[in-house]
Amino acid sequence: MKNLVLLVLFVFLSLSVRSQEQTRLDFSYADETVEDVLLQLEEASGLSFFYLKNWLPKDRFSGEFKDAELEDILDDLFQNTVINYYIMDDRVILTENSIIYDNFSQGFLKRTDTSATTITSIPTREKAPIFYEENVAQRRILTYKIGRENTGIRKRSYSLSGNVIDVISEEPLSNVAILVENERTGTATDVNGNYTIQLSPGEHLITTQSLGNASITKRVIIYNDGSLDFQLDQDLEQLSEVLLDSKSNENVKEVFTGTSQIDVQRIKTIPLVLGERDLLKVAATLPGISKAGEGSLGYNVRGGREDQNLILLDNGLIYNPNHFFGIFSALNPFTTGSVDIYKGSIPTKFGGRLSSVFDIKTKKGNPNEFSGEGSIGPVTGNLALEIPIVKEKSSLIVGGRATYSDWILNALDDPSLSNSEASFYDVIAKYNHQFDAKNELNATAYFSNDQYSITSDSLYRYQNRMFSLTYDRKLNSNMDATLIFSNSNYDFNIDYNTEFANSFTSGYIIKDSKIKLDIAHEINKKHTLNYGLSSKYYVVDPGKIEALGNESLVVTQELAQEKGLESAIYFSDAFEVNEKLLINGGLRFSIFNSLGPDLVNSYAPDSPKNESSILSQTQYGDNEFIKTYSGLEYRLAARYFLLEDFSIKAGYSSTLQYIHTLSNNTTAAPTDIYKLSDANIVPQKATQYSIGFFKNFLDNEYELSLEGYYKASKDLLDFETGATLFLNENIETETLQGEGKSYGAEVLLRKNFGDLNGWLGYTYSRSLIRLDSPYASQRVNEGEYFASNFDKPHDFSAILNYKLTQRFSFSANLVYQTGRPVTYPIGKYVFNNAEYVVYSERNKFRIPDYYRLDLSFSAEGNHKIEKLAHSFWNISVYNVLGRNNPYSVFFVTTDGEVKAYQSSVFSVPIPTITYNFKF
Amino acid sequence: MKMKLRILNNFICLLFLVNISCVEEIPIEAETFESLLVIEGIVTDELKTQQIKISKTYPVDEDFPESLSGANVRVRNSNGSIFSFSETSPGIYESTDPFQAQIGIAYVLEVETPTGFYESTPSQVDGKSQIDELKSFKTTNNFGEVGVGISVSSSGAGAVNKYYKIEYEETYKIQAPYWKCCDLIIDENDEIVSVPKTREEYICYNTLKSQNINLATTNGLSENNLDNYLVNFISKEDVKLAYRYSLLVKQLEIGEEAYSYYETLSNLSENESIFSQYQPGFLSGNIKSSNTSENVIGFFTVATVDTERIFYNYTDYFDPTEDFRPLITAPCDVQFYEDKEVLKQLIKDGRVKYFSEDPPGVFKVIRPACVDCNYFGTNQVPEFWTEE
Repeated sequence: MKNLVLLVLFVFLSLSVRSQEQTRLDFSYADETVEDVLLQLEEASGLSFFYLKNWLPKDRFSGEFKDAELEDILDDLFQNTVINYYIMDDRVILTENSIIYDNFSQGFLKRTDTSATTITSIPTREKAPIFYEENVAQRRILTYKIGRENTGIRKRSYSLSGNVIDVISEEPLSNVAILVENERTGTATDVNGNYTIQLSPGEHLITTQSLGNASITKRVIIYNDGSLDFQLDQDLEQLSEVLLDSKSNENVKEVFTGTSQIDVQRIKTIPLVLGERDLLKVAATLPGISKAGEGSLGYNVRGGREDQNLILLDNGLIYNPNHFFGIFSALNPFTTGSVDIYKGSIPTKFGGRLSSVFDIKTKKGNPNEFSGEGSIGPVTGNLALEIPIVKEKSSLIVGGRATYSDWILNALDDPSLSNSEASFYDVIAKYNHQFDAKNELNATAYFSNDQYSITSDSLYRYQNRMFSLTYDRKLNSNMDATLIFSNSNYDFNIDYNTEFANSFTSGYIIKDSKIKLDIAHEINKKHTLNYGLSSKYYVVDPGKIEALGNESLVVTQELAQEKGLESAIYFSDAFEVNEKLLINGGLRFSIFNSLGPDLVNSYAPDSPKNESSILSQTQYGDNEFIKTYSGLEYRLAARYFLLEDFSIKAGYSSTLQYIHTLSNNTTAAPTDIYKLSDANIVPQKATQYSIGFFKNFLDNEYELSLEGYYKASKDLLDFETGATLFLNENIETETLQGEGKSYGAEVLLRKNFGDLNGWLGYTYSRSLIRLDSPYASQRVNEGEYFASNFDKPHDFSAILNYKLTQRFSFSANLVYQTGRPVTYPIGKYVFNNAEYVVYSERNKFRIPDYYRLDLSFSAEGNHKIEKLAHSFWNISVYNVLGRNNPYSVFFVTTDGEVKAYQSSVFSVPIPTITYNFKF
Repeated sequence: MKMKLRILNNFICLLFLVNISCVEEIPIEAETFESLLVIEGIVTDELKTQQIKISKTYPVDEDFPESLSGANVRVRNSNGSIFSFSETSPGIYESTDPFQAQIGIAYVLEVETPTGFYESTPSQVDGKSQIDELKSFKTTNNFGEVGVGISVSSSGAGAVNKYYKIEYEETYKIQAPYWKCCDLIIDENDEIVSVPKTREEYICYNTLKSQNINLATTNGLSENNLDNYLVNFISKEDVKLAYRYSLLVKQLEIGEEAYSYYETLSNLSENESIFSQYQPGFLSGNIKSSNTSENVIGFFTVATVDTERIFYNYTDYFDPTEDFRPLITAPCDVQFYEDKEVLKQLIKDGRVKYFSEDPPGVFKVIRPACVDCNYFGTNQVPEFWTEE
């Protein structure tokens, strides 16, 4: 009851606190303890902090501030702690629990000088009382004393008045209910956000309630008439954003199963091959996301193929976010803000791919100050700049990355290598314009280019191009509208140049333009709707070959353009049935029109499709509907709190995919062709059931989740052995469409903060395919289910970061996976004077298991304020154990003899040093 | 192919500036074995004894194919003619009478074994193309090696696309590193004596059949002609090139179906990129079992053939005083043995041959391959061989 004694001792006049002229500063910290942040802040601001070490929590926090007042930084830093602070000239005094006020009663002032500030207020820390909103469950109730206690006559009631504003937009909030707990009284704010309420002297709990804003409860002790203002946070749920807050119970609370987030700030010390920070590689260490091998392009999510992932960069589609056979990802780590991955239940606003959505968002540039970040590594150089355009309104962020490996190859003496090349670059620019608190425009442009040649007569090139415009408008406090336009392009070229007459250049292009309107609408406390519509127009140039050089006799051949229109309308409702149960259910109706012009074959229904079974051919005119596919996709997700920090979630989702890659390789390659569904190739379909348990321990320091899923897919595209895919007019004669099923259990244990943090993930999963047909040539493995090329039942990953001191940290990354399936020969035979192997059942054997340990050590430069640039060195060793992990096993007929070879991509430890700098 | 792999290997490894082995040969282990019938047959328009080969698959870790004997083999054509075949050596079936495939007529292969009856789909060829020119020229291959290439140009009749399988037979002259007059023998007195050589051991010839699948097509070209199609490339480091080289090119015009079969077979047996591998699977040919669902390997096709031969010498392209001729064998160190008994034993075992005799009765010897070209070929001059 020491608190009460204090309360009695000191009397206050006002609540206005911490008013002082402040210099504005830019400041950021990632995954650091409060103490570290304070030390950095001292350097950055020149202030001195006074506190007792044992007051400070051990949790780690991240934050980023541009041109912010010191108070904003401190408010944010301490918002989930019991620390309060008081700024006095160049000193900052921290207090535990208490608030230091700088207005005192007259009598008090007489007694003391100003330096003798005194502890005055007593917030109490409470454990989530029932009247709390979940998203403020961790928040303390602050106690405010209202009015000067009058020694004279005490009135029956006093009036409390004040103003309620939105903390972000600083706009007054009308119609906010001001309720007095347990007293059946209350009022509401007027148009200007003002309220007045009569309260009896003594203690009351006042709670605000409104749509779109979080509730706040404050304890007031009424001594006299007075005022109390409220600043309300926006409601997290209404924004439906996944916060990357390091101390959050989001994983337990969120309704969707199978979601993963990558915190871009946190991955900076994770060791990765050749010093390239890589968001997608980090994603692959999470359960349910894997790659077929080190040199394979793309990702397999919950047993799905590489082409079943919708990869969105600022709402625009990226067809191939990989450089150099997937060894590097084509996303600039410095400009990327967040990556949200949906692998279980997919929100209705996304569609068009069966397995997952990678929703990647670029950072917004700093609108106030020029800054930059860069790195120099053994393979690439990378530079990102944030450029203010109109102060506090608009900014530009640009990032560029390029290899220098090409120069290295060219510098080598070996003639066979100096003719080879492998180079890539990618550039991104995002412009952000904040018209006002309600209107915001973002424009992103992205380009990536890869070029490589393996023999001197051929040159491969591929490019991604993407442009997107996103216009966000807050229609009112309950409704947000987003209008998106995007345009994406992917193309590849193969040039073959010989001394003979068959030199050619060939190419492939896919383009799409999309328009989408998305509305998030909070009807009331219980129902939050999300609805919208989108339409996407595809144009594909499926293949072209033409002569290269004057001597070439190659005739130009070009397949007819393919066109398609994929549209969708969707609706979902996040329904908070009660405090424990949240249901998000929705429907997405998607429709695909295959458009002319095209000459379409129709085949005899009871024979394999080939030239002789063509019954008739129909010519369709330009933009005429050749074939229309449509379907209703169901998305349902539910979360139920078993305990405050323990939830169970379940999801069901069905998806449709109207675009397919054609590949007759065992792993995906950049030259895989995207084909639209047409009269003879039907869309792929999948349904997924998932369930998960999510538990947080020790105040969200540890997160544990267990998820299970079963996914069934239909009409997956495969090919007959030896199918020709490029420049094939009648591709349907060589395709097989089969069924897939995959299932698995995923365990993830994550430690979010502390000097040692990271995660352990284990997945047991299977991914199976069945290709059956009445015709033997179209049957694989007797029409039975067999393991897909990326079926890896056991997959274990561990990522551990250990912060030694403020400047030095270690990271380790351990991976273990079952070897992937391969097709092994069942015998040899002699043919054409040489030996050949005969293959029978597909994927019956496995290459040896894969395991790898990577280590890295990071040293940061000191944080002196005068320094031009902050720098940090990263030394990492990929594959420390030197494990020769086989990537594939293959059989080659050489000089008439069969030989077996095993290839591996990184078979020895690979040390790299990267220098990173920031200014 | 080997070359390609090595280069790839270096390419990937050097890209990352680490000297590591990325592609390595591994021993082949037999995981499972399934015995399948293998039938190979190309009936050509040459009037000759046509040949069909029948064998069975064998385990991947073994070296000897198992031939299939005792089959009844015949070829039928759409005119109703039947050509019967008989087994001349295990697994080799030759037509009883010479015959030739005719353009525009379909042929079917029928094979009857104790376990089943197999039949091919009809195969026919619709044209015959002439080789216009065979040309040899000095060139550099994709991997930067200097050598001699041979290209073929041919013209096809008619407007349809032409599909070719190009086979060849290469014959090259071999010269032993040393010419010697004599051989060493052990006479009846158990003495080592030198006697004049009884056979040619200095100049020999070796003939090899092409083993790789060489395919060419005019599909996608503006003319129905093959223009300087590279058939073969020999590096100047290759001993085949050392003296005189001859190539017999056999251009088989085949149908599209046969072409795509060979093309897939070739794709399945090489590896273009270590990053992406062609999906292996069972390759169905045009021969099926008539009564079971048994898988049969192989292809039967008819073809029209044109052949042409070319010769060239090392000196046509290289100056031996600057670019030394590749050696057939090395090292060729001259040895001397004090102990006659040791030398006798080596002679008896055929492990050394005469090099010199000085003074009489004292012999210096050398590894046999250094003085006898028969280790690498035959001393019989091929019938077609011409010098200059």
